[in-house]
Parts: sequence; C-alpha cells; structure tokens
Amino acid sequence: MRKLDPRTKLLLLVVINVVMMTGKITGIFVPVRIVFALIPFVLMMRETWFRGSFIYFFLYLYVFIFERFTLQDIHPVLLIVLLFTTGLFSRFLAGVMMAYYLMKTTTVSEFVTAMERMHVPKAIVIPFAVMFRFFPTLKEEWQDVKNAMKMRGIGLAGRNPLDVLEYVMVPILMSVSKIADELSAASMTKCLSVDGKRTHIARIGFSFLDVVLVLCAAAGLFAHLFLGGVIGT
Amino acid sequence: MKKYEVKDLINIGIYTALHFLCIFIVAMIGFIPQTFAFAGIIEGFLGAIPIMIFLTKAKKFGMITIMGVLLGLITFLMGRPWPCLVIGLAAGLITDFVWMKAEFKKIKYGPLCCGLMMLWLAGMGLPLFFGYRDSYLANLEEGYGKEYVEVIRSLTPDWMFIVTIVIGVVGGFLGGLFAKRILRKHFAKANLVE
Amino acid sequence: MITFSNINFQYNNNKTDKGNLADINLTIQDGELIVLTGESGCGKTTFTRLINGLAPNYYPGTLTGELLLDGENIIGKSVAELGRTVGSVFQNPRSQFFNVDTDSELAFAAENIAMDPKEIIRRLDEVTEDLELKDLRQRSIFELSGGEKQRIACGSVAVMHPKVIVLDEPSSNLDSESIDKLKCVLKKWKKQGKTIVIAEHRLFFLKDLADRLVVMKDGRITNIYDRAEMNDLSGSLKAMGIRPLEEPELCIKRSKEGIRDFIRIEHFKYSYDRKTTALFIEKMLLPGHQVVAIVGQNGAGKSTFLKCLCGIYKTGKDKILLNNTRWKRKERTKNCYMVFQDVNHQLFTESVLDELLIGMDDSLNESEKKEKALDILERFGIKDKAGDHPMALSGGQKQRVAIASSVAAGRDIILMDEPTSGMDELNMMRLSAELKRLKEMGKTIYVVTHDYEFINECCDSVIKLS
Repeated sequence: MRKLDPRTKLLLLVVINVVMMTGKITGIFVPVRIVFALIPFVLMMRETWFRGSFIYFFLYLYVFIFERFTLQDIHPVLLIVLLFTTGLFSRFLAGVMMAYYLMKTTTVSEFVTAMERMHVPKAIVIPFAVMFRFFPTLKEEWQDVKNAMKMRGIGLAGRNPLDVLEYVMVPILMSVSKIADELSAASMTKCLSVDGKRTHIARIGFSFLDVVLVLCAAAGLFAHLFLGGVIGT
Repeated sequence: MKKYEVKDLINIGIYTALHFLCIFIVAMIGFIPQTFAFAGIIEGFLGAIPIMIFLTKAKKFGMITIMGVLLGLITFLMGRPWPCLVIGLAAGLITDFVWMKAEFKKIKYGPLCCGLMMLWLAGMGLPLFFGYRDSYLANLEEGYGKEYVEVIRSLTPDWMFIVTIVIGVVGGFLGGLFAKRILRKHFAKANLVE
Repeated sequence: MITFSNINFQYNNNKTDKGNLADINLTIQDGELIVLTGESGCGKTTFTRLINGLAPNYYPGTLTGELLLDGENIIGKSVAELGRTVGSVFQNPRSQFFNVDTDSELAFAAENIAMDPKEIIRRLDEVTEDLELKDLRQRSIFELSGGEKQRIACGSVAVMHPKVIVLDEPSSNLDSESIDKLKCVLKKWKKQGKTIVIAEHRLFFLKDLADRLVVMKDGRITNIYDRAEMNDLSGSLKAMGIRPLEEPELCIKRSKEGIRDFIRIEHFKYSYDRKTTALFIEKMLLPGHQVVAIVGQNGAGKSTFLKCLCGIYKTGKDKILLNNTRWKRKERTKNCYMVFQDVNHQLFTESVLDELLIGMDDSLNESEKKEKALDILERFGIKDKAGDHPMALSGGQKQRVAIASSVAAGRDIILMDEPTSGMDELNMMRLSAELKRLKEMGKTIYVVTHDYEFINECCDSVIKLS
C-alpha cells in the first residue's frame, strides 16, 4: 500500500483545521464538512485502525445528528454538556484525528525530507529532528534518575517538594547538557552543517490518492474562502 | 546576526524537547488541561527550568524564536487550530527581544524571559475558548433558545482565557526564579556555565 | 599519511578539557593501525581530536605546529570538511547517533554531503554486507544494545569510505562479545587499507591488530613499540599505569572467607510487561562478606538482576532470603546501595559533603553527621573535595563519592554495574583496593563486570548468569 506523501498529510491538516474551525455549518458547507470529517476516517480505515476509526465515526455521527435536530425534555445540565461537547467535536475532532494520523504514519526521516523539500530552513529542520530524537532519550534519563532516587531513598516523603524537584532536575539537566555536547561533536564529524544542501534516502512522493486528496482539500478550501464559508461573512 | 553553529541548533532541539515534556507531563497528570487553573502555574513553573538553562546557551538572536516556532509547530501537529503557530512564533520572538536587550547574558532578566515564553501555551488552550462559541452557538440558538447558549458562553468566557495565560506566565516567572537559584547553586559552581 | 610536526595544543578551558599536548612528533603511514594509550588525561583523546578537527574547532585551544594529512596542512580545516576523509567513532554509544532509526543513521553522513541517494543506498548495502549489519537494519536505535549501537556507528563511518578512521575508547561500554565484533570491524578496515588511530585503555583486543603502540604521558609521547617489541611488554606496561596487552585468564583463589549462602534466591522473576520475561532465576546462592563478580553475556540480564536485587525493580512474587530470613523489597532497598554505570544520575547535591549527608539517617544530630561524613571522605582520600560540586570531579572521583555515600548511608550490600568501564590501570587498582577495604569493613559487594583483570585483582567469587 503506497504511503501518502507527508506534504499531502500536512496540507490536509491545515485545510481541515481551517475549514472545520471557522467554517459555517449550514448550506453547502454541510457536505463540505462531511467530506472533511470523513477524510481522516477513510485514512484510518486504510491503516486498519478499526477501533479508532469506529470511535471517531460514532463521535462524529453524534455531532452531526445533534447539529440537525434539537432535543426536547432533557435535563438542563446534560443539555449543556451535550452542547459543549458537540461544539468542541464539530470544530476540532477532525483536526485532531488528522493530526494523530499524521504523527502515527510519518517517520521523522520522512518528515524531515518533506520539510527540506519544502525549503524549510535548516535552522528549523535540524532542531525539529533533534527534538524527536530526544524524546525517548529524555524518558530514559528520567527513569535512570528516578531509579537512583528510589535507591538512595530520596522521595517525596517528608521533604520539601522544591528540594525534590531540584534533585530530579539537576542530574537530568547536567546529563542532557553533556549529551548535547557529545552529540554536537559527533554530528559535526559526520559533516552536519548549518547550511548546504542535503539529500535523502527516505522515499516520499505523490501517488494517485495524494492527488485526489489534494484536490478535495483545494475544493473545500475554495468553498470556504470564496463562497462565504468564513463565519461572519 | 551571527551565524548559528551545529551546537546551537542541537541545543534548541534538546531544550525545546525537555521543555515540552515538562509541560506535557503536568498536562497529563493535571486533569483537563488549561481549564484547571493550577495546571497553568505548575506547567509554567516546571517548564521554566529547561528554558532558563537554555538561555545560558542562547547567545544569538533567533534561537529562542526558533524554539517558539517549534513549540507552535508541535501544538499544531497535535491538532490544535492553526493560530497556535503564530502564537508560538510571537512568544518566541518577544522573549528573544527581551533576552537580546539583556545582551544574552544578564541572568536577572531570565525569569522574565521564562514567563514571556509561556505565552506559547495560549495556543494549546485555543479550542476551549474559540472557534465554536459565537458562530456555532448562533446556529444553535434557533433550536435551543438563548438561555442555553448563554450558559455555554458563560462557561468559558473570554476573560478566563486571559487569566489562564497570565497564570501560565506567572508560573513561568516563578519557575525562572527557582531555576536561577539552581543555576547558581549547581551549574556555576560546577563550572559548567558562564 | 599523517604527520605531526612539533604539535603543541593547550585547551582554552582548562577546567573541563584535560589532556594538553606538548612536542608531538609522529608520522603515521597509510594503512597503519596505531594504538594510543596512557593514563587518563595523557592526551590520547586530544590526539584523535586533532585529526578529525574537533580540536581546535569544537574544543577551542591554542595550536602550534604542523599537521599534515597526505601532504596537506589540515589545521584550519573545519570538522565538516575533514569529515569527508576522516571518520570518527566515539566512546559513548548513546550520544553519538543523530537519528531515530538505524538506516537513517547509516546514511546520515552521506546525506549531509549531498551524495546521490542511489549511491547512498548502494553503499548502505555494501557496508551491511561488509560489517555484517543485516540484523540491525531498519530498526529503532533505541532498541539496540550498546554493542549494536557501536556497530551502527562504525557502519555510518564506513559508508563515507574514509581514508582515516579515529576511534576514541570505542570499547569502553562494551562487553566481550561486542568487543569481538568490534575487532572484526577493525580487521576488515585494516584489510581495506584504511589508516586507523585508536585511543584506548583496554589493549588486549588490539594486540594482533596494532602495528605500533604509542604510549603517552602528560601530553607527550614517551614510548613507541612496534609489533615485535609489543610481545615482551606485559610487566612494563603495568608499571606505566597501563592495562596489559594480554587478556588475563579468570583466576581467583577460592576464598575461605565470608558466608557461603548469605543470600538465597528461590524464585525470582522479572518482566518488563506481561509478555516478555526478562529474568528468571529458580535457585541461586550468593555469598556474603566477599567481593563477588557477576559475569555473563550481554542480554543475560545482569544489570536487571542488580536492580531487582536492590529493590528498584518490582519482581512480583519472589522468594529471597537473607541469612535465612525473608528479605522483602522494602528491606532490600534499605540494605542495598547500587552504584550505576553512569554515576551522573545518582549525584544530586551541590557539594560532596552534602552528597554523603542526605543519605544518612536521622539518629545523629547535624554536627555528628558532618563529622562522620568528613571521616568517611578522609578514608576515601577525597576529604579535600568536601566543598566541591560533585559534577566538577573526575569520573573516578565521582565514583568514589557514590561509594562513600553508600558507607555514609550505612548500607551493607553494595552493588556495582560495570565500574571499570573506560578506566585506566591506576584507577582500576585504586578501585580494587577500595573494594577490598569495604569487604574488611564487613560489607558485601556484588559487581557486574567483564573486566577479567579487575576480577582477578579483587574478587573472591564469580557467578555467571546466562
């Protein structure tokens, strides 16, 4: 199954985000919203994430129904909760699902490759890549320090919480500082530089599905911007 | 503007990651993020610590701005509305200017910078306050009547948004003070920083 | 060919960067494998940094003299420029990889110089074949062991087809199996005609590979031995504070001291998650009041074993007896003290004295505690560092602070995880002496290690985990 290009996913995220968040919910925008809500669903199904897809589907179904029909004779507090959540989901759920999909199906290398193809400056791409490389490392560091504290009997019991915070943060910060130094040195010996072109072995590229999705996104965006989709117009 | 070195870019990445994790951990533990006032102060406090250390390594303009951009980008990639990107950039830029005025070394401005940097958190809280209250509710009014709509509106009023942001900034400032003490006590003493 | 002519180098930051060089004159022929060795701080690492450009570009300092690589003066060239012909492998597997997955890491350097992707992939396959990396391809680097990470590091260097490769204590964190694999890589590179410069403490795996052994002290070259001379060296190396060239056989005297079944383990199981069991021990006897070495291949779970023993990891239903009474997890945490491989994670305070004080129990008052702590520091020879910040000390000194803390905390069982990683002869001997002294104080020490010389020096028994 051919993977989607990260740039397509990014475009979808932006468009879904914009249209769902500030778009009208009546008239022609009903089908627009339905299509945009369905896009993450279809993509998730394609990845066989059935449980997630169905939860998402039913949440949106609930929103859709609630927007169309008014319910009578409901306890006011329950009604408030329902209205609140409907609004939230209607506006943001699709965006969140699309974001989740993007994160789960794109590797760091693919993302970096996409960014460099889009000519995002290295000064942003390199730190971005480093961030993701560090999340697991920071988790390891934190666990090591936590184990050490457990072993030495330094815990929250009977101690000033600020002291404990100090005990936790200082070793992590020192260790991180050292790793940063070593990593910088090692990366430089691997010819990493702040300017200059890079090539990539990660394969990204557009397929038929990418084109279809881009067109959908473009159409939706067009409707949103030029056919009076923005709220207040 | 002096050119960046590999070390600068790696530092930006590392401290942004650490800062983000600090915030994220509190958000996970603390109940609903951004609606719970305490969450903001603790997030700000904890998150300020990596920022303070980062300040000692940010000797060139733009590094903090890039941090803001990255934070905004992560927020966006988590599904928050697109203005979060602008907010992240703005927070970074403002903090960068203040740190530049402090000649990238006057540490007494550190806590202020930590506080200002927390402005990026506003991007995370957007969904709860914007995008659906007015317009959306207007559509629903016909069905439900003004009173319900008013109640909804009152649950998340505008001023509360400002308050959560301010709480985050204050938390950041306090965290910065704490981190300054750590810097002096540990990093300066161990000769790891100027 | 690499030529050092009257090289002098002083680091600018003398507090953190040690190992200045003075009057270095040396010519390294193409295809030679040179081993640099000497006590800690002798300058061998600095030597390698001059070749790959990290000194003075990344570690600033004043450099005089001439350094030629194939006739060209490389002083003044950037690290990235030199990276095209000089590959570098570092000591710590955890901090030298930039990417999250192995394939990206292997391709990283080549991507950085904008090599054609097809060529990069071709070279990836070639290096995978050469260095036998097939089982490591397309995996997350975080799943790999230290040895596997080091192999990837070597692979990422090989992809660039460098002429020269420098390695800075590459075997420090590796077990014997991984060291063997490293040796194979070096053999392969030597066969390909690469010039190799290795700064190392542990020499035995290099004995058959080294063309010359260069001994350094205080930044100067003191001795150079060629192949023939290396065979007669063993005694004199030890006198110079250097590890021997021959790997010793495990040879300890069966000790009559101590208690044979101090700790009896009857059922011991640890799993990371519900599916995989990391450690399973049906029956084991651990001797007491001795220094006991715990050996075994990587992955056998030695570190995990230590962590379970001292109560850091929960072991579920276990049955462990100490002196024939049930020894529960909470008790174990109070009785045991573990010195981690990376001591940085367990030093928390702003002064060495405080480090000892926070572990002490409250039965003594402030001044009594302080006195006792200073006393202990004296015994460990670091009393003069009492006011210093622990992080400002050297690696060996930090380790001593950790051990001193265990004594201050009154814990009788001390666990150590690879304490001699990257240690030179002098410090290893010092540690051996310290452990023997601890034993005399009545403590029991369990050491996970693969340093046979160290085991021979101070251990009374050996237990193998598999």
